[in-house]
Amino acid sequence: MSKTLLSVSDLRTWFHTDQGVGRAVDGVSFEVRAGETLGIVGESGCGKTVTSLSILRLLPEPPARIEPGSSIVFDGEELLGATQERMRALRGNEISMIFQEPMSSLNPVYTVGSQITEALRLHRKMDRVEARTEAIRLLGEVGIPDADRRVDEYPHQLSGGMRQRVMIAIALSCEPRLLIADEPTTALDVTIQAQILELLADLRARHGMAVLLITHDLGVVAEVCDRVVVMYAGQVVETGTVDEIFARPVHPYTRGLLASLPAVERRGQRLESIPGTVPNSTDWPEGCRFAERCSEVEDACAVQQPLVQLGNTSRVARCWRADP
Amino acid sequence: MTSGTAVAPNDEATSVTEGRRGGDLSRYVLRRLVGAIPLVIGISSIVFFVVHLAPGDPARLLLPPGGGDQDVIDQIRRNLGLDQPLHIQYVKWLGSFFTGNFGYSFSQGAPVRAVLANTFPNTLLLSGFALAVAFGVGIVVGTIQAVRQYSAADSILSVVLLFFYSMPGFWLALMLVLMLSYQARNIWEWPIWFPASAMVSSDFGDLSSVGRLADRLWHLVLPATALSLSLAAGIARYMRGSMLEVIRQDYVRTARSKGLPERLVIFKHALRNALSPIITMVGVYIPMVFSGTVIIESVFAWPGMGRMIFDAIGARDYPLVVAGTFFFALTVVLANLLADVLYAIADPRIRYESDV
Repeated sequence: MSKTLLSVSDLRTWFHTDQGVGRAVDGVSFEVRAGETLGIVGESGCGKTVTSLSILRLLPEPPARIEPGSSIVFDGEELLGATQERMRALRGNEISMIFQEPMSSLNPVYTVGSQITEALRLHRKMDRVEARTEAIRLLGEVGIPDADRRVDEYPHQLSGGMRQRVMIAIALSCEPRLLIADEPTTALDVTIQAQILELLADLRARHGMAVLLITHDLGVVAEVCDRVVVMYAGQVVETGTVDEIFARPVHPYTRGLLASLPAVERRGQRLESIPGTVPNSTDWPEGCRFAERCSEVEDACAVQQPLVQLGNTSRVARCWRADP
Repeated sequence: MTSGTAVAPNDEATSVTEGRRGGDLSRYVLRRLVGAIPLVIGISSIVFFVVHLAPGDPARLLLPPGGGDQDVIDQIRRNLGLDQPLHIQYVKWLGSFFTGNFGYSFSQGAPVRAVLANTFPNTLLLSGFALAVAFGVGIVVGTIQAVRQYSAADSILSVVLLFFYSMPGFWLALMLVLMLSYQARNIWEWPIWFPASAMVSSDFGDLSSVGRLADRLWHLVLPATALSLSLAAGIARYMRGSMLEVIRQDYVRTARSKGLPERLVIFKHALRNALSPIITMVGVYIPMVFSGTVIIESVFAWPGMGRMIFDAIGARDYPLVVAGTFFFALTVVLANLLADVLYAIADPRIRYESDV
């Protein structure tokens, strides 16, 4: 097993607002090993994006606050105590990030090239000419044809898929060891989704970086991830390898997510869905947060349950029924 | 579009727009200017007829009160061409307009063109300085407020800005004269006070070139402040709102995620986007400052076009009033054109997509 690159433990990122305290991320722990792809899956509002932004400390504080007791260790270094200066040295350099909305993630008033060269000049201390050459090379690497022409274009001249490729080029520019991809394909057409995922997998293999892939799409997870963390209501409800999770999901929520995937053999049948919606983060239910939507609820669910380790594996699940 | 599609090996590589590179800006500007000619002539013509409707006789106003008998007055009227029917006067004025003379000023006893040539540069200096101060202060203050939203600095600045925004320009001008000129110099005996009138000191001719520059700036302080403060307050208000919107945008987060220092995130990535709505205001604010000079120049005895028009109205100096109005109308047209051009420069989406 390769060494741990990122270790998040008991992360609690709360939003302190006039409407109350939103416990968006409420005690999340997981780790990313060097070179692996870890997927974080969950519905909208489960805290996966806040988790990813917490790692780079990109959330506006206030209202967000990473509560004491949380810990994010990157390559042996605790990030939550790090200075702003240290964080800036890591961002875009050791850890970079791509976002959900390629249409709005690039600055409309600067050329694609200038947005790529920025990180190169900042972290890799390249001069203008070197950085431009490297930007063109990167654009080529992420599959943009005519890179030497595209480099001088503005984001609005590119399609969504192309813009996401540019974002990937920016993220890759300084050879990060961890790439956080927050729903990188959600806003794209299905065919382009597949291309972007393929590109990410390809680049990961070539550069040997770890990828933390945030998504709500289990299909995406199956395609590119090694391990999965399933989140619900600000907590991790189940973790395991992709094979384990897909073959033997333990938590009723994970089973519900899997059941709601369309499958060829169930063609013509109604898609399964999990009844209800994610509760509000200012008002999580007592006990199991999934209880009111769970089909297998029992008396014990009224009490908060610990994460149960399954047998001798690294798998854990937050459910009374997950017998070791 | 064909080239993009042909080259694309496997995917969506066609760009949304191929982008007309560097739209023909100068032709656009020329077209706008030509289009403005009838507008400006129309406005001047309307003003021509309206000032003639105003009561009062320029010939009588040239004479001391009660002085001059009817013969003298008639003679003056004949000299000034006021004895002729209005439509004849109009045609004559139009002729002088096209030759660039703008007629002959009754009250100044000189061609209007000469009067304008003497006063316009002074107004340009004052207005230009006031505009630079208004936009500079407004943009900086608004940005600080947005970046420190809800802080004590933000709240205090908001109150101060509202105070100056609500204050009438002429009153502010009088208060500035009272406090920073008269009181500061004579009563409080402060080491720093500012002149309340004129453009330069009487010993201007004896000063070195640096001294002359300092003297000019010193004389500019009060009138430019009076002219620009409420404007700066308005611009800061807009800037704060615009900046608040921009710093929540995804691309600002992207900039941070690259590890850029906050200074660059704000002043490079956010500021340029936040300026777009401010730039549109150039078209409104330049004319506002120019018309503001009518009052402010009168208060500060600034020998510019604003004060000239003010005096000309009092003297029923028709050619001068109409010529002055023509210049103000021209300012509106040019300021709007400038705003459009700046907008296209600031935002590549406009530059490539519109017909600019």
